[in-house]
Amino acid sequence: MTRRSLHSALGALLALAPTPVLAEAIAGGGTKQPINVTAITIFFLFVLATLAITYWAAKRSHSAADFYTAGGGITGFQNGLAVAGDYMSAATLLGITSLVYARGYDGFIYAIAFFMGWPVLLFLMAERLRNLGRFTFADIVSYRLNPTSMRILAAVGGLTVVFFYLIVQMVGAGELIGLLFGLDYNIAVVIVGVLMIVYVAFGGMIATTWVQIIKATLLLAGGTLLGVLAWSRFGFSFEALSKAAVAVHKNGLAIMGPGTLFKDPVSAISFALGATFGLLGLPHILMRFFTVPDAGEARKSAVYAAGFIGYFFLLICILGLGGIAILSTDPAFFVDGKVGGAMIGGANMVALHLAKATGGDLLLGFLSAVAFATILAVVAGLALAGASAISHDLYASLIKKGQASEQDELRVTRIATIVIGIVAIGLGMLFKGQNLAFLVSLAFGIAASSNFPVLLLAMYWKGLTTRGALAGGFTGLALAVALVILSPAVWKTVLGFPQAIFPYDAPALFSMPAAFIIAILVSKMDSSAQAKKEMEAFDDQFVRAQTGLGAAAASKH
Amino acid sequence: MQTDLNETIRANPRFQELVKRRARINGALFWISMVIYFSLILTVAFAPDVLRTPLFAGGVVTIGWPIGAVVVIGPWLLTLLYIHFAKADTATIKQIFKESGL
Repeated sequence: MTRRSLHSALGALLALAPTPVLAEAIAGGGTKQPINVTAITIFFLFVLATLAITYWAAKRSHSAADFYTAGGGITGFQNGLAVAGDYMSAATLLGITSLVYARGYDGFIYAIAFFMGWPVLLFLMAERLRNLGRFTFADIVSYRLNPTSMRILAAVGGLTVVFFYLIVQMVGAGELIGLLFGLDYNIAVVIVGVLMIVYVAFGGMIATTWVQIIKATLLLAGGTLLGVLAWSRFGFSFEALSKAAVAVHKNGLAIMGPGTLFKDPVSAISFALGATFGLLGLPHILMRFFTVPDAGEARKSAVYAAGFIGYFFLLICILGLGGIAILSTDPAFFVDGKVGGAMIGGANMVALHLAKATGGDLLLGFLSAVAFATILAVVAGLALAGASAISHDLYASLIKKGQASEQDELRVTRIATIVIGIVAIGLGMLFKGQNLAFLVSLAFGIAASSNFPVLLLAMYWKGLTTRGALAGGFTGLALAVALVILSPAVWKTVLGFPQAIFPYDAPALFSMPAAFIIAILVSKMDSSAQAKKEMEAFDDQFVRAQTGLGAAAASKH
Repeated sequence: MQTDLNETIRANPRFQELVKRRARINGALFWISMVIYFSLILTVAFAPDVLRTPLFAGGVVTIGWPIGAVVVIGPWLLTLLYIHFAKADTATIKQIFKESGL
């Protein structure tokens, strides 16, 4: 792998989203695949099933609570699957497998970093999210602080993260689907955008949840089958598998230990912090914790999600090593049959080639369909989070000061969904073939440096005032954006300057503590009457956070 | 009314005990996970050779792999421990509600 494509691969993993690796793969001689009948048939069945669910869900979505949170009637197990589905995108399967294929143990470290947020989410937030929140995470930060300013901050932070994520997903979708299904890029982007609008606008959270559940199940099943088939060739011995991989990999034994993943310790720590705490600021993930009936189910969701994701990431190591051992000596998977050269379809195709090698066209078709379904589900979750921020935080709470009728709010959500869908299609076409790794650093950086600090302090610290939260939140946001722009990924790679001003790609080590410090200092200096009231209101919020007293109950269907 | 009820709950020694217990347990689980995780990240950053030690003589698998697996499975087991402790808390909360006339 060249330095540049490696850089993109790492970026892709940052979002667990398909990114420029695919773009470069195509530019670098990947060819469009012939139309894959199995893949299209399976995908067609998936779309039919999910549309049927959307129709069913649409008939059950009457209230705002139905729409935003499925009426709070999702069980912990279902939500665990759904939230794992929200998190594991096509690049989790394709990107991390390819990273392990290219770099061995380094890929494993990446997977671990993106797992670690889940236990932390449970220990710090899962139950409090459910007890304090209603529809969006802005509900929590505006609970005792000034609702107008806090909703603006939360909506800006939330929507930025959602849109950066969406662009990356749409571009990845167009490229991946072009590769897998032999479809034109623009057609693929339009299909994804239109299906996303249909799921979310008509079926709301109920449909989105079931799309996630089906997709997560397919992804886990497909990955497991692939892992079993590949590993069985080595008698399910990790040593035998590793030996076979070491024997054919160009780096040999080096792939069994850490390589040159991080340029320096600061990069390592900054990346590790961002990957972990960024999760706790992703609006589409946080929102899923409002769909369960109570704090007990919320904590179960987090445990199930952590279990599924941890399992899947360990499985991916087997896939990556299996890919090395099985694919690297087979000319059938390389451009012009040159073993060790460019992989057919690009570097991200390892998992799919492995499917073909171990399970033939049928498994390849199945896995391709799963990858497409995965993109759709992730995009739907993002669109719902974005539409909720617009309709609930900006329209109903901010513009209408809480006086909007539920019907009006729902109408705005649907319009917002359609607008987000159209904008996403447009951005997907606009950014075709661009190196978007930096957008992913931005999304995680902002989530970890703006949404997360404000949310954590609002939940835990009595002394937080509106002024402190605004100062801290906007500092984190501005600093994360500035540092990413000055980082090698943007300053050098995108803008073409010879030397990056800020030497690290991940901003979290600097921007996250800055947000906390500013929020605390400004809150401490805030002696206004408003600040006093806000601190006093913490005591009641605290009882609710601990016990769920007064939290919205599940509606019965 | 709501504030009165909140005050009653806050004054309940069971509630105060619950809050302390949770802070202790959740804090411990969080910091244990962080120590496990950053031990690995810092080893990768400062002493990568440690992770390249072979697991057994003559084998190619390094100790880095089982250690990595422990860094995933360990914190996940801690989440089960969290659930275990949280069950008792749910019972305590019910008791507190009952004593507060809910």
